[in-house]
This record gives sequence, C-alpha cells and structure tokens, in this order.
Amino acid sequence: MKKYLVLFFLLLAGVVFAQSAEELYEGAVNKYFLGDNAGAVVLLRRVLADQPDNDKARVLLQQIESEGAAPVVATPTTVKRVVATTLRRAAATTTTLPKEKTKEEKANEYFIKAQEFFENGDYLIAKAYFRRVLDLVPDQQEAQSYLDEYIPERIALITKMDEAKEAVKDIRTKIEAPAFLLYLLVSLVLVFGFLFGLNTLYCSWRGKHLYCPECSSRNHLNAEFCRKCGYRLRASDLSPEQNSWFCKFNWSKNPFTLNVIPEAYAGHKTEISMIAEKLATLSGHILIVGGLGTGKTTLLQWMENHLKEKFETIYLLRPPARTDELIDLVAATITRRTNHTHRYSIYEFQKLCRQYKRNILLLLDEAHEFNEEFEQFLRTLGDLPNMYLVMAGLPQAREKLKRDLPALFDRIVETVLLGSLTQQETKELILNRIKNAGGEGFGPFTVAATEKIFDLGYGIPRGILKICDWLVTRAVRANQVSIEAKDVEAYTEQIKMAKLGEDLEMAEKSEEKKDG
Amino acid sequence: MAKSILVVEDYPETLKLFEQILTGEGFSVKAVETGEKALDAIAHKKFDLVVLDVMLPRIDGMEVCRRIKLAHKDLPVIAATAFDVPDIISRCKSAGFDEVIMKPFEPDRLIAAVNKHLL
Repeated sequence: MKKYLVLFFLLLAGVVFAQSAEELYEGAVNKYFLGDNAGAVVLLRRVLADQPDNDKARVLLQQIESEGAAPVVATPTTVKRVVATTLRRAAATTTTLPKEKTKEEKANEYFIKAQEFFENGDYLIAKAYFRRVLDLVPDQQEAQSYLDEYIPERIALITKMDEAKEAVKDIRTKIEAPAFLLYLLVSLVLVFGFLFGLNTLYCSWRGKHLYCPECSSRNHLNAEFCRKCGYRLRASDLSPEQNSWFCKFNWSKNPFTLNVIPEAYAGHKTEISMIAEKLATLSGHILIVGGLGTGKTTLLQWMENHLKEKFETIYLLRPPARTDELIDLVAATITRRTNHTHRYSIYEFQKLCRQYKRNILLLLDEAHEFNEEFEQFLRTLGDLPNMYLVMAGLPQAREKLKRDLPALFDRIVETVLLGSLTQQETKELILNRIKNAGGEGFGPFTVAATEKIFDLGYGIPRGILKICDWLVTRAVRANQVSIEAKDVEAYTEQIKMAKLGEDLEMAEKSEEKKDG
Repeated sequence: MAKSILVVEDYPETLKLFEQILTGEGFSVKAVETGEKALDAIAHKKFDLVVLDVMLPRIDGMEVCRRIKLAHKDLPVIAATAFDVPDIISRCKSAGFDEVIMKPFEPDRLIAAVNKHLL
C-alpha cells in the first residue's frame, strides 16, 4: 500500500513539474531569438525526443544548425514574448514550406519585418531583426545604417521626450499645490464677491421697505404700524420738538410706550428659571399669575420667541371664542399650511398632534377669561402627550381653574406668581427700553430719578413705563435734557391733583343725585 | 380703646366677611380693596395690625408688605391667601409677613391669629 502511495505521489510530482513539449518548444524559440542557439538546440532535442514527429521543432533545429552560433542580445521580457510569437508564426509557416530559403531571402524577410517594427516604434525588436540581417548578409549597408544611425537617433529622441515628460511632471508637481491654492483663493474671492453683490442688491431692495421687528413682515417705508401684527414701527407723529429731543439721546422712538417688547424684558429671573426648569424636564403644565401690568403677556411673548428651538410655540393673545379656532390655528402651525380648508374633528386633531414629532407649547394669555367650553377643550388638549400648556392670567385664574377644571389643575406642576420688580430690576427695565429705542445708559434719567420711579411705580412694569412716559413728555415740552428725582415728585403731585379732581367730580355727581 | 385693624382684600364678599368677623370681636376695622389704598391709609393713620391678601390686582400683597415693613417695622402683618403653592409660606416670610392663614379659613383661625399678635 505504502509503495503505491509513494508511486502515486511521484507521478503527481512528475505531472506537476514536468514541462510539456509545447513549453519546451517555446523556451527553445525564446533562446534562439536571444542568440542562445546552444540552449535552443538542447530544448528542441528534448522536444523531438518526446515527439519525434514534431515538424516545428525539427524545422527550427535545422535552421539553427544551418545558421551556426549567433550573438546574445538582451531584450526586455515583453519584447521576448512578442518576438517569440513572431518567430513561432514564422516557424509555423516554415513547416508548410517544403524547401529551405537562401540566406539572402531570409535576410530580406528579416529586413522587411525589421522595417515594419521600426515603423511601428518597436525599435528594440527592429534592432534585433537588423542584427540578424547583418548576421546573414554582413555587407547589407541599409541594415547597418538602421543599426548605427536611425535606431539610435529614434531611441535618443524617445529618451529626450521621456526626460522632457519627467521634467514637465516635476514642474507640474511643484506648481500643482500653489496653483490649487491660488485657484481656491480666486474661487473664494469670486464667491464672496458674488454674495456681497447679492447682499448689496438685497439690502438696497430691503431699504425700500420697513420690516417689522416683531413678525418680520414687510411694510411700506412710511408705515407707522405693522400691517400684519399691528406693532408700532415708528413714531411718525413725532413733532419737530420731540424729534430733536429724542435725537439728543439717539432714540428712534419713545422707549416708554406700553407696547409689548419682549426683547426689553427685565426681572423675574427666579420665576423664569422656575419655568425653564419645568419645561426642560417636560414635567407638565404651568400657570403664571400676576396682577395687572406685571408683565405676563410680555413673558409669554418672550417665551414664544426664545423656546422655538425646543418647542413648537403657539401664542394665543386671548382665549378663542370657539374651540374650532384653536384647532385650526394649531393644525395650521404644525402642518405648515396657512391656507388649508380641511376642518379637523377633535379626534383627527388629536391624531394629528400625536403624530407630530415635536413638543407643542401652547402659550395662553388671559387665563382668567377662559369659558367653560374652552376649559373642557383645554383638558383634552392637556392630555396629549406632546402638548404643554403655559397659561397666564390674573390671580383669580388659579381659583377658577381649581374650581372648574380640577383634572387640568392637577396637571399644573408650577404656579408662578409674577410680583413687582425690585429696584434693581426696575433700573434694568428702564435701561433695556432705552437700549431698544437706540439709546445708551440711563440718559436722560439720573440714578436718583430711577429710584424714585421705582418707589412711585411700586415695581409694576406697566406703572414704571407710564411714569417714564409722563416724565419724557414733560421733559420734551420743557426742552429739559435731564430728568431728576424732583421731576418724579412732580408726577406725584400731578397724581394727587388728578385724584382730587376725581373726588370733586364724584362729590359733585353725588350732590346732583341728592338734589335730583 | 378698640385696636384698629386694616384689612386689604380685593374680593368684596371676602372683605365683608373679614369686617364682620373682626368687628364682632370688638376691633375697629378699616377695609380697602387695593395695595395702593392700603399704603395710603397706613401713611395717614396708625394701625395695630394689617390683614393683607397676597394676590391683589395691581401691587401684589408681597410688595405691599415689604413697603409697610420698611416704614413700620413692628406693625404685625398677617397674610391671607388661597395661593396654596408649596413655597408660599417661605415666600411670605421673606416678604416680611408675620403669619399666614390659608383661605378658605375658619373664623376662629383668623381670630386666633389676630389675638396672637395683639394681645
């Protein structure tokens, strides 16, 4: 058994390592062409030993023997392959020829082939053929000329071209990086130039209109109020005296109007942080209560602007007359369609809200004015998982919700009481308002005046604004550049006089009633 | 001479209730509806105690209390509120209130609180 196995492996090795007659023949052809005639003869004899009737091998062997020894030519492998193939073809042709060619005929044949290779640019092969021509016919002048002049000339030319190409490549490599940077720079300059031009055009176009700082809608350049939200855009009715007085402080408008300006919001930092904390954790609904003019509306509008990233904020100035209106408003906001005609049923609306991927923050003002129907609807809304309510109203709103809507009231996680501003916060409010109008610092108010304003206004934002407005109007009339504490006292006197007037009027009316 | 008490409450019914309970106990009661009126009354007359609603329509009770305490440090001020948020007691304390009674209240609770500071 072992013996057979050894034999089997030996046979297998023999099959693997043994060269076929064809391979041996090809090897012989290569050697022959390379000038190793002795090597070629050895291989051809091995071929004929294996295959005595191999005509190709026999013809080639005869040819080599008739030629005798030839010089060894070193050619690249690719050239070898090409030449070998060519020779093989020649050999195949020879097998069909019954008689041998003369030396001149062979030389002529080689010469033609050499020329063909020369014309095709295969100079090394051509060179080999020309050599063979000279081997057969040593006085062939033309072949000699090719070998001595034309081929070296062409090779030299190719070498030069290669060198030139390399040089170009080197230069290209050297200039490529700076060229790219230059290209990038030029492109950037062009892009920025284009954008700058576009911006200039846009600005000049924008300059022809007045844009609302509240809702960004476009208005006529001379419009006083925003056509969309009603925001006072400019004090167009400023008298020349007012205008010149405002210019002294770089004010573009009266800073102390009762317009809601969320950007100028001041104070209630603890309350805002409480609200922010609850909204950050999405704990539940929030109720803001506070007296008249304490800044509930301003706070809600401030929230509307500042919580847009986290929530889909929707602000409602007052409770709608019908719940459909709120459904339409919320649906339009979350579907981003303002002109849709589809009326959502409460069930469709619930589904729409549930499918919406963002949290919705509904900011409801005047919570003390909620009617029963709206309160019931709010309870439904409040049950939606991604709906958060922030309601603001007078103090009684809390009692009302607690009494009428305990289910919703239970979901209120924070009741924020907006109280009066501190003295510092009052100063901050005055500063913010002046800044919003384009001014800087307290000017024209002295610090003592701002403190007196706080005392008189009880820290209630609306009260403070009213006092400031009165003081500014008075200063404009008197062309007074500084508003001091004594001027604020004048306001107290004016209030007292007004009260006295009211009392007198009341007394007169009651007397008239008695007489009547 | 009867002790005088200032009651500040914006709900007329509740104000009337305060008046009835305290007058019934023999106190002299001045009732006003707003913080401004309360501060005005205190500026013109001396009171022995103030019962003050926390949630007033304009100036809230906290601010009124702060201002009362600035002028009359020893004048007792009792907060009456229905604003039952968890931190209401601490808020009232920091505003300067001496005691807090939650609404709705039993008359005895009010009388006990008043007597505590007057007697």
